Amino acid sequence: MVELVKDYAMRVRPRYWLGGLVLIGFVVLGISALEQTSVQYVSIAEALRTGKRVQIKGTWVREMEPVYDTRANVFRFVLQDERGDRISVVYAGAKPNNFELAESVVVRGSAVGGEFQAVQILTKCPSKYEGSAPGPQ
Amino acid sequence: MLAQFAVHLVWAMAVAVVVAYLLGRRRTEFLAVARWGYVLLSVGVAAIWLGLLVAALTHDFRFTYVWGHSSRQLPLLLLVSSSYAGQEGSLVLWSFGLAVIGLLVRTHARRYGWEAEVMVPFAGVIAGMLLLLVAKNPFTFVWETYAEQGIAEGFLPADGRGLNPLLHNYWIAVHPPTLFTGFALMTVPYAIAIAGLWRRQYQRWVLLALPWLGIATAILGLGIMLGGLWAYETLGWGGFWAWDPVENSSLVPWLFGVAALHTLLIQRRTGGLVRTNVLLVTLAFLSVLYSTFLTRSGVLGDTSVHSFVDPGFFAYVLLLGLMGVSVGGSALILARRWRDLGKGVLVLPAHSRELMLALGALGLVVSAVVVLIGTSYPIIAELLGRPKVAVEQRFYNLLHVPIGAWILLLNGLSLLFQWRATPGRLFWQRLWIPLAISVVGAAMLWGAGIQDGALVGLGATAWFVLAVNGRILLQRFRQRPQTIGIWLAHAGIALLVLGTVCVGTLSWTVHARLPQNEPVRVGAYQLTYLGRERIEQQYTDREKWRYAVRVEYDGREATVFPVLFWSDYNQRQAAFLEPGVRWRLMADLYMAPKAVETENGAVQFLLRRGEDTVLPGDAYRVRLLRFETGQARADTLTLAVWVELRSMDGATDTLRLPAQMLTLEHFLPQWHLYRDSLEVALLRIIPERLDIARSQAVLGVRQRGVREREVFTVEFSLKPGINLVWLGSLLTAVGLFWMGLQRLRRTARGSIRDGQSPVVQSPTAARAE
Repeated sequence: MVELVKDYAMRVRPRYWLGGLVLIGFVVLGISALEQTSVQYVSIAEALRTGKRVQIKGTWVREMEPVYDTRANVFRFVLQDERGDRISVVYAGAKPNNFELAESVVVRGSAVGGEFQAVQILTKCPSKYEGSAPGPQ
Repeated sequence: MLAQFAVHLVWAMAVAVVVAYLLGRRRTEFLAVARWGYVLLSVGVAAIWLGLLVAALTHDFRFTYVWGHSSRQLPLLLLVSSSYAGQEGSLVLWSFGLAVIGLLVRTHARRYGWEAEVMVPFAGVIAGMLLLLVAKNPFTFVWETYAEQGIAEGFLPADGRGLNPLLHNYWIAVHPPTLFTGFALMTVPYAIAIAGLWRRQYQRWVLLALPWLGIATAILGLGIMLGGLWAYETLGWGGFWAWDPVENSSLVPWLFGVAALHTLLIQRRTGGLVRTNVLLVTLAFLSVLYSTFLTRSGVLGDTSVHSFVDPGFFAYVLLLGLMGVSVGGSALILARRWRDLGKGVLVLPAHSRELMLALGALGLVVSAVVVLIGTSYPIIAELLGRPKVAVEQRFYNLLHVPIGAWILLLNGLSLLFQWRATPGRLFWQRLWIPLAISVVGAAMLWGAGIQDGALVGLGATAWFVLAVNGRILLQRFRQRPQTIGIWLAHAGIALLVLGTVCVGTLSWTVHARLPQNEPVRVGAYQLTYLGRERIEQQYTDREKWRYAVRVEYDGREATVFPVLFWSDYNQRQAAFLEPGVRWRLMADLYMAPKAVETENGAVQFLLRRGEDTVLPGDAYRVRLLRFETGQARADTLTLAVWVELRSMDGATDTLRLPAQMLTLEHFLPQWHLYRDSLEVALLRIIPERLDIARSQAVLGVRQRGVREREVFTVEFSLKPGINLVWLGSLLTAVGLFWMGLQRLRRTARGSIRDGQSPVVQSPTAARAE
């Protein structure tokens, strides 16, 4: 038994190559995943031009009523980006919580036939939660 | 003024303690000063927190922090919580946690004569935290914050702005304190590592740091899990984990910490991996700082569902500066000792536990780096001058299937192997039962409907871990029950992964409109919206309704209660939505509210100006003649449309249909009785964005006498395996904590060699020491 143990200890060297191989595998996997899943922030004009999956940051236009159609489970609103362009956004789902209060909105999805089909809507309501709200008076 | 000054004073005390400990390394009289100084510092930090607490409890709204985070209507528990619900308050709580932990660490380190070297970096971190508080003083007065509004000095606002309604539940009392304690605890192994480098005792620090690292990962893990529970149970996000930057940045230190836990074990046994260990423990600490930076500087504002604030330029620079100092300091001392550290030779024999542990820890590090890169990607891209970009959740899920499987596989293998060398026969003998169990387990997952090869593979490795650890757990439990912590933690992780796989693949969600008292069937479930009830009426700052929905299935029934919460906090402009959850062992019933409408029982038509359509029954045609924009009175606006109704026999009537517009979405229609049989009304106007003249009117037509009813729209889902997630995370936290505590007790007895496993050092490593 002791011999056996000694034998094992003698024959083995650090297995750095094994770790290296695994690491390389994960790096390759990671880079390809990054390529596949990273989504650029673009303007509406750019989104319309490419039709690719993108994100747009903007504000929702208050004169245009956002509508949540509970029968079709579709939420529609109009988004205006920083350049002032507007696009109608369609989202297959309910109106996000706190949408009315959102100072800015980030939509992720792609432009199809002149409207933006969103798969995710992020709403940001910073002033309501911290700091910059009106003072105590 | 006094309170603000106190914060400065306590900060100065922290700096003095650092200096005193620094001098105390050589001269014992300074050490005595440092010890007393540290006690005073702890009292000072406690006083800051108490001061903030008392200010909150006594409604001292002169302080901007108290004004901004509480109100007179808050119950006691939430008032207490408001003392750490905001930025400044959470920093106070964090510093308080650090100060208390420091008292324990000090006692532990003193036994080994390491007090000064451990406490210099530790008190340094406290000083850094307090410096942030000096910059963002929690005791700033409203007339200072809003100086431009010309508020008189000494002004006491009548009431505070209140606490964010999202935070109005018991989770605020448990989640943040646990998380911040976890963050604070991560400082301990780091301080011990620095002390080890300083004292050139590259092996000994491992024994001191191990128990603390166990406790730190336990508490941090618990804090992360409580956050998931909160999101699931009251925030209605539908899940427990969303790879959001805030969540991610608390996960990264945990992953580095757990990786370090395993590599420290290797060093304890073999004397190798010295540099790796210092590096990992340092990374675990630095990633806590980095996480603080990411989540408080607002740099990731666009990519998270959490709300961030710009803390102001000074605090931003300060955070960067603190990170810079920690990185620089750690790098400096590491560089000076680097060659020294490398003298130990790492031996990782093929059939050994140490190799498996190292490879497994590699998986954990890869996971940490993946989450770190994913979270920081917007910043990385910006620094590289590339267009603004962010990764989707898919990025993390995609990568964590193979990474998770790798980690779990190696966990199982590492326990089948022995240290140094394993006879082949023994290995195979130990392997076959767990292997069989994992094959059967995988088949079960497949049978349960998870038809995704990669996820079933991940599940199989989880079963493997469960089998290997379960066996040891049972053995140990009979012989030495006090040592089961580690195996409990491993089994917990396996359960967590199994639960995640089940929830991720087997849960289903349906969208349902539920008219009151009308059963709606979705799959095997029948949902009936029964009605609503106003709750918490004792508070005047809110309107909170509890909706009751009966769920019937397999001859059983349950009632869930989603909540809609209108609060003065946002001037009741929109409801805060809380899901109704029915906890069940195998699968939760989960109902997230989406919308409430009053249905008028009418058929709806969309008409533009000049368009016409036939009404149901073919008796009439209706044409939209024109819009009439309204008279605004008080805060309501009355709009109207003119329509022409033509019966098939040729008679025509022109009607004016008015409606009050309450909000953009909410119209109050006025029903017009027509020829004693029909009711017609204008329900809404959908403005056309490009050409306002082409706006659409939504008209409703119904038979006379149809009753209105409420319709509750929900998202109903079934969450199978969610309880495995909670149970698994809980077991992991308990197991880690138990292990840490056991080791702490053993090392605290005075002998640094913990009884059953003396340090085995290679000759070369011994020389390095």
